Amino acid sequence: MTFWHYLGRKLFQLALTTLIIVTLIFFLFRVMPGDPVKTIIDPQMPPEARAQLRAQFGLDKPPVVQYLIFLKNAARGNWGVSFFQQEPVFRIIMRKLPNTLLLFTSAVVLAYLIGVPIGKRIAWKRGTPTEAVVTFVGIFFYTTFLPWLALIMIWLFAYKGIPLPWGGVLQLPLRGMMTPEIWSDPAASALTKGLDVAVHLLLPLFVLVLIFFARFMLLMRSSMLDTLEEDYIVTARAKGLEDRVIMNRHAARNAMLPVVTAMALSLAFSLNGGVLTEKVFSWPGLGTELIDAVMKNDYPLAQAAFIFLAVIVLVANLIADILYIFLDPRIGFES
Amino acid sequence: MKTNGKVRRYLFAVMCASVLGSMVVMCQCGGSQLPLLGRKVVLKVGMQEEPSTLNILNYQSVWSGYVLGRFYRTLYDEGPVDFEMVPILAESLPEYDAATTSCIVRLRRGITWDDGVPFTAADVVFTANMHLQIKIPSLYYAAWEFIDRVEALDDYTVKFVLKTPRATFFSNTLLPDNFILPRHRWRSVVEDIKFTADPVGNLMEYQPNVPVGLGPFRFVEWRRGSYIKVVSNPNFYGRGLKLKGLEFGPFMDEILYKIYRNTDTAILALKKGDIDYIWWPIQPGYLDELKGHPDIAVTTNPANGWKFLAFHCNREPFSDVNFRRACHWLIDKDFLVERVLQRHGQRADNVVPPVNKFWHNPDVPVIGKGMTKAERWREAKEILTNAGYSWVVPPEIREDGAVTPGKGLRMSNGEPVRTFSLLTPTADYDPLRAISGTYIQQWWKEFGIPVNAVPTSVNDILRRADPTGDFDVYILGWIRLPIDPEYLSTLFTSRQAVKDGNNTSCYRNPAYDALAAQADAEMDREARRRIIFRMQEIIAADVPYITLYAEDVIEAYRKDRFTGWVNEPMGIGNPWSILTIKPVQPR
Amino acid sequence: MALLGVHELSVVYQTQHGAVRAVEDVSLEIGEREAFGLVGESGCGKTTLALALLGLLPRNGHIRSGAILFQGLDLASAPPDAMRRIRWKGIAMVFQAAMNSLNPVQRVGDQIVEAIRAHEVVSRDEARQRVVELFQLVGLDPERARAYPHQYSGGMKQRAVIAMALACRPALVIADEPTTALDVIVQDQILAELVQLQTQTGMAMLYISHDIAIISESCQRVGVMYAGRLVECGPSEKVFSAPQHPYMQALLGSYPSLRGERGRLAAIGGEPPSLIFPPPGCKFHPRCAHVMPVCRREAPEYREIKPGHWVACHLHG
Ligand SMILES: Nc1ncnc2c1ncn2[C@@H]1O[C@H](COP(=O)(O)OP(=O)(O)O)[C@@H](O)[C@H]1O
Ligand SMILES: [Mg+2]
Repeated sequence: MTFWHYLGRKLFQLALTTLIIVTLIFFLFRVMPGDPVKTIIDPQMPPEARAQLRAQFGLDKPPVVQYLIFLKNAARGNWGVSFFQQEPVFRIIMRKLPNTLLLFTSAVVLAYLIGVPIGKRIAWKRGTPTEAVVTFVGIFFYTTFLPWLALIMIWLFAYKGIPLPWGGVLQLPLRGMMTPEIWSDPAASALTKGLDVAVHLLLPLFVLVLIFFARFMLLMRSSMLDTLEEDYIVTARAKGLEDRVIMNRHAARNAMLPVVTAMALSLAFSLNGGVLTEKVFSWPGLGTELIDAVMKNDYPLAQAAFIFLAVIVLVANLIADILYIFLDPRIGFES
Repeated sequence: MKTNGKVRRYLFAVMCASVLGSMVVMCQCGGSQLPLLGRKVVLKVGMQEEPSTLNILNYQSVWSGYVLGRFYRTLYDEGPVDFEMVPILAESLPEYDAATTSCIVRLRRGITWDDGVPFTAADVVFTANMHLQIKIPSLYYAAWEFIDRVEALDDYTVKFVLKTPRATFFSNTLLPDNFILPRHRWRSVVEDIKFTADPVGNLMEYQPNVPVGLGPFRFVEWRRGSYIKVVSNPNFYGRGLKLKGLEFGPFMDEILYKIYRNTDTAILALKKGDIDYIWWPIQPGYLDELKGHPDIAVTTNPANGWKFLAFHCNREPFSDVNFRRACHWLIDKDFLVERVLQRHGQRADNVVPPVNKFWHNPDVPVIGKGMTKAERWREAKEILTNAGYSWVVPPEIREDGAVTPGKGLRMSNGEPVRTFSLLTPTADYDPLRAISGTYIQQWWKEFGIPVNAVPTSVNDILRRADPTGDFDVYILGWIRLPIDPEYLSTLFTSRQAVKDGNNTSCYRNPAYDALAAQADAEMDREARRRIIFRMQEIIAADVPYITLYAEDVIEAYRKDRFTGWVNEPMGIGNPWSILTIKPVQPR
Repeated sequence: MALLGVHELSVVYQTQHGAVRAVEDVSLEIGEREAFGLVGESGCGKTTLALALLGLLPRNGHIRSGAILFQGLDLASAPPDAMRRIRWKGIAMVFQAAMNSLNPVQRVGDQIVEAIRAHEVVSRDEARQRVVELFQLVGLDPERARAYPHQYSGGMKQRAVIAMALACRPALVIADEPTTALDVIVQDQILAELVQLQTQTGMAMLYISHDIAIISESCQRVGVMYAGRLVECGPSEKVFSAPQHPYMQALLGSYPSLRGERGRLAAIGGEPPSLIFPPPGCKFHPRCAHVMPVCRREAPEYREIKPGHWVACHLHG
């Protein structure tokens, strides 16, 4: 099997999984209690108005027909129109997706850059008090109730503020991804605006990184602990290599393999955390859009947002699979 | 090699440090006080959601109204404080002629749209014709279905011709949400979609980049999910007008609507000074936190709405009005207000709340107010016994309050009353209603009425709360009722007891239906009021709904920033406040 | 002076059940260019002894007492850095589990290059050249140096491991049962090659094995371990032809002929003793055919009964 065969098969699997997810989500929303037409609470709406709305939303047809129509349209790139925003959902998602990606990717990258080295080091120092403390901290953040943590961070850093040694108080913004006063000021430079977004990113990023970091660190730690028991580590030590080389080139390099896959998978499980983070920090991302859409039974938007998030996770897993090939020489291909 | 790496590391560190440094600088000045905006007067409003679009016709939520409602105007409006009709784009009150079922509306002169085009009768006629042709479901049936045609008699006089007399002409067609659109902007849009397969959908999808209006504010910028900026309209015709002792501005240069997705951060933002007002009612739980703050004021206003419990009147035992009445007696509304609402609310004893002064019938009998449990039990027991109900073990209550719970309630035909379920919203959606539901279950059970409270997702209750839906009893609420109690004609009439209808209780009373028809067609306000009073009495006697309580509208604003908020039922976040508040002069 | 001198070395493992005295009071010497064989039942502490020499004891094990003199340094108390320099350059090791002693994600050649460059200042290319030579020495195709371990057969891995052990031309190579995981034919080849290499390169070797035949053929001297102690030690031909300790006698007695079929140490009757709660006196006494009352009370002294032939047994008291 060549690499391209492998990739082709993986892509096919991805497409198939996506189709299954699309189908599941489509019907899930429709069996989920609720009726979009009923969520419009208005005593002035006569029955005929509701019936007309139902037809406008395409909900007057049997679910299977709705599904086929949806598939046909989706294949043409038409994901439908949000019931309540009256805008093509694709456009809504494309508007919010970059914000979510900005928050999520930077969180994942940072958490990786912090979590993996720390996990590596504490596993190396296994049995020491440092390991015990750091592991405990990791488990604490891993199991922490996120909105609670986020609110404490907000209160501390955005409301109380942190006194600075040279006087003044460091106060992060409370919410969102930009200061309206700055962004709406025509005189503000692009740099100021960019920095403003960076400043807004800090808190949600911090909370998200804390949680991802805990996950990645614990994953790396346990994988590393397994690896350190391997015979080739004893060999490496016997060879008189420096600790740093043993830890990095031999132990960590091998410990990374299961972690790459586990991290991609853990993305799926941290989605709800991400969604909550967006909500608490009023981050204008896909997650908030998803919550609102689900609450209002806005099927087209909710299912599209779900599918997008699912596809992001699937693609992350595909990337992990491909990365694995390059990390692990044992998976080989004929050239 | 190695030195190279070091240099690179060093450079990287310097870069990180400088980025962080500049961020710290931003944080230090970026918080509450932004010197750049010092000279302009900006009202900063916290909102929980944003409008769905800039298309005023796609008016999906109160948030759309809060923003888009500042750009457009209606012909008339409900006046400040007392809700009496006041002319807005009109110059005088409407002149209705019963003989021809037509109405003359005279328009104010000298008003121009934001782009300088004068506002005339043509705009009104255009807007009306659009509604008549395109039939947007949420507006057409309530406001336009009964209109035959609308014509301009001259540039400033419009004549509405009605097919039949309809009282909601005043309250709906001329009033709240029927904003007049600029013909010169919208005509091509409407022409383009008029003959498409889905004109309503296509019209809703239309997204104006910059809405052209004639209201007190003009649209400037919308960063989705972050903020909306509007500036005051220098040519606003209403500037300087006076009404009921209020003088109109606007007295600010800009409004910045900021989006806060949760109350916790909005409260912090208010305390910090990031915003001047939170445009949604806050839970009483936050009151303690706000009380100590020297610059924050809290207002409490009654709501024009109520939480209610609805019976499915087609099902036994609720089909028996006596059963419903007895259930009503067993609910201790005083307790709910006192203990569940912690007094942040009122009893609801009438489907038209007392805050709606003109339409509220003060003579509707109040059930159980100030009475002891024993007294209320006696009433309930008498009603049921007289109607032929019996118990295996009858409920007894002594004067000292000791209770022997009733068991095995039987209907007059001797059959046991079946166990039914009471759908209540879940505690995470509304803890007050969830708890109230539990108490009601307990009160009924104690009396031998076999009921189970079932916390249910609100979407599910809404789906099942249909005349053809599957439920026994549910608890929901009307948070913001229209001032004109036209809803009495939709919530309880037989013609609405069909699929998708609003009479979810399936209450049927021909006498009531007749009154409703009469009220709908009564163009004389006083005469209509008498009929509406009568309808309130019938509903109180027949109990298709038990109105439970109304939560007060608690709001918070910075008193060091703006003053002159207009207190109204439903709170200070009303269009009048925005026109009348003035900045507080800094000391 | 001997290359390596172990003096009354004791190694203890801390476990939940108690302290495992895996090596107790072991003293031995290995001379330059000498091949020393170490035999004993599984679990008697051979590997532990070898690991202690390199300072590679598992985390729960430590040297309780004794000294390891190597090139004028006491390895038992050497600072980590000095120890690191001794490793591979001074003492290299071929591990019992050669299958797993190669890093699966690193090219085999690179693993050897890495060992060389950790100890010698040579360019990568020089080190690579050395790998080619080493591969030729152990009978591997130098082309395969670029391959990953999983692309090797078991025998090839073992050869690569041996090549790696020789990479820094160590003074002493410890081979801990280097062929146990291989099939018999390959075992034979590799063993023969290893013996040949030892004489060829002139390094000393500590050869740990079950395989009495190979030890008797290739080692000048042999030590016999029982339950953590060295019970007999002497020139191969002496120990094998006239074993002095009853344990060695039992082992060889149950083993028909040295010149016959080669095989592992035969099992003898009874159980090996617990190393946490060893029997009092001589640890072998519960299984000993010549047990005397004193054996139950006192541990026998380890003494030289003939020049160069040491035994710990009351029979020789
Ligand atoms: N890490 C360890 N922890 C505890 N006991 C150990 C450990 N390693 C080995 N042992 C014990 O030490 C004794 C000697 O083991 P080992 O040196 O591996 O013997 P050999 O190599 O002769 O088979 C055995 O009883 C074994 O169970
Ligand atoms: Mg061993």
